[in-house]
Amino acid sequence: MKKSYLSIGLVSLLFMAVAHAHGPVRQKVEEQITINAPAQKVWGIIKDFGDMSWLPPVKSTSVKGGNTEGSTRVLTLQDGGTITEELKKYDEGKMSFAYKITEMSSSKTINHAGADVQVPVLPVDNYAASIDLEPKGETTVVTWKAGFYRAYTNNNPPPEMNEEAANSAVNAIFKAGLENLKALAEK
Amino acid sequence: MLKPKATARTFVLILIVLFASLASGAPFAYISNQLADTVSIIDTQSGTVVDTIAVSGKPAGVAVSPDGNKVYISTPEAKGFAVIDTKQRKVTATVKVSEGSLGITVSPDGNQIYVADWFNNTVSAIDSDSLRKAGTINVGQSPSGMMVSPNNRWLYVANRLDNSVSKIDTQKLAIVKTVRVGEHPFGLILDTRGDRLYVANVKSDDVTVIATATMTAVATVKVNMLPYAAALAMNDSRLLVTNQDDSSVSVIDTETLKEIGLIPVGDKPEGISTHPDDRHVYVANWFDSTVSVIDARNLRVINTIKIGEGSRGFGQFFGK
Repeated sequence: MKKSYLSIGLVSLLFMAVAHAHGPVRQKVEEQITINAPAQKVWGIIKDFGDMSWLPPVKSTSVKGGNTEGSTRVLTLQDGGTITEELKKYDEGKMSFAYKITEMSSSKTINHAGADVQVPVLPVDNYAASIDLEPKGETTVVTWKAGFYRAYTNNNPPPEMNEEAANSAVNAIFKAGLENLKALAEK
Repeated sequence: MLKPKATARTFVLILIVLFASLASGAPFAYISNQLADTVSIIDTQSGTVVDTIAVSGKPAGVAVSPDGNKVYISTPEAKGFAVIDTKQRKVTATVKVSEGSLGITVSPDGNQIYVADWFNNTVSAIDSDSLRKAGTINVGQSPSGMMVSPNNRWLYVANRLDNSVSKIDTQKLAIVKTVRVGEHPFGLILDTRGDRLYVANVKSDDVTVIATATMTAVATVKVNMLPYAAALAMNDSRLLVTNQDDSSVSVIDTETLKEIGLIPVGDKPEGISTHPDDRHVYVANWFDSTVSVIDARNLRVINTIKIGEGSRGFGQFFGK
């Protein structure tokens, strides 16, 4: 019994490793907010790669490394899902950093085109993002950008894993995150 | 105040000048804007977008016929490609090929169009006169960038998920040899003589240099984060590579195979092509929806042109 579970796990791992093309159309989301607080204060809230407590859906963050390229963090979401991200660029002077998702847990399994498909907690694939702060006098303009593909890597995606699902999920996170960041910084 | 007759004469003169400049045909760049479902035409003399053509099906790849009269745009969601007539500046035909077209190229004699299918792992040859399929060949997984040798005899294709590049005999439509390259090869460029092939490996952040006669990898050159595609300029002496996640272009001396420059461009640079003057290199910045114009001699950006949403320009996008 135990053995068969293991082999199912291995097979699905293998499948995921093999079938990793991506959708044909990369998507983008860009959100900007002006915060009535100096840039240093805003930067102080977001600058630690290992601390994403300012993002509402995140329950906890654990980090390997620090604010250096190649460090990884695992975001545990309120619902228990996890997202692993790697820091790709970090610029203290410019108050900006860039990162990408390297792994995600799945939120559910659906059946599509005759196969079981796991829907990742964030329904995206090949996701890379960056956050930049720009001081404007006593205020700060925060820009959060991401480029990604839909979660479904083959042709004809199910609605849970198409471009629309990807865009609306990322949009919602960016909006909620920036609004919360503004609230925290303006306190 | 000009007299009416003089005004009319001036007007005619202006018309003649205008017509002459149109007829002289400054080289144009044709860039696919995937998220906008359009193709922008840049007049490289004025450095402005002179027309925007609606192309449905999420346009991605670009190839221009050698005479400059036709532009072939792959449309992955329309599962084929669109043909733009450059004189009329409109889509004159759409061709369904298979399931998910991406890479597209045209032979130097203009007779064959090759379309790679990202999902089916095939390359189809299309006769450019009849726009009918001449044949289809199975290649490696997720075929991407393609180019045909100057003598029309060989087609090179990057097989992204197989980490390889294949050489295809265009007469037999059969693979002659496949060589292993870096991880996730995507865009590629062949030198003028067809001797050397450079392929950008998205995942291993490097470029593999291939000797085409033997199909052997002769060198690997490290570039920056997520290289996408490459172009050659200045008599093939310089190789320029777009680094998507670094918002830059790496410049490599093809003699020493050393990086001699890193040029900041827009965000998520993707497609890259060299102007027929062999000196200016155009880069489509996907995130910014702009085109950076690089002077490959001075290694400087000399112009940035706003174009459509999600500009990709994957392929050789210059026409006459």
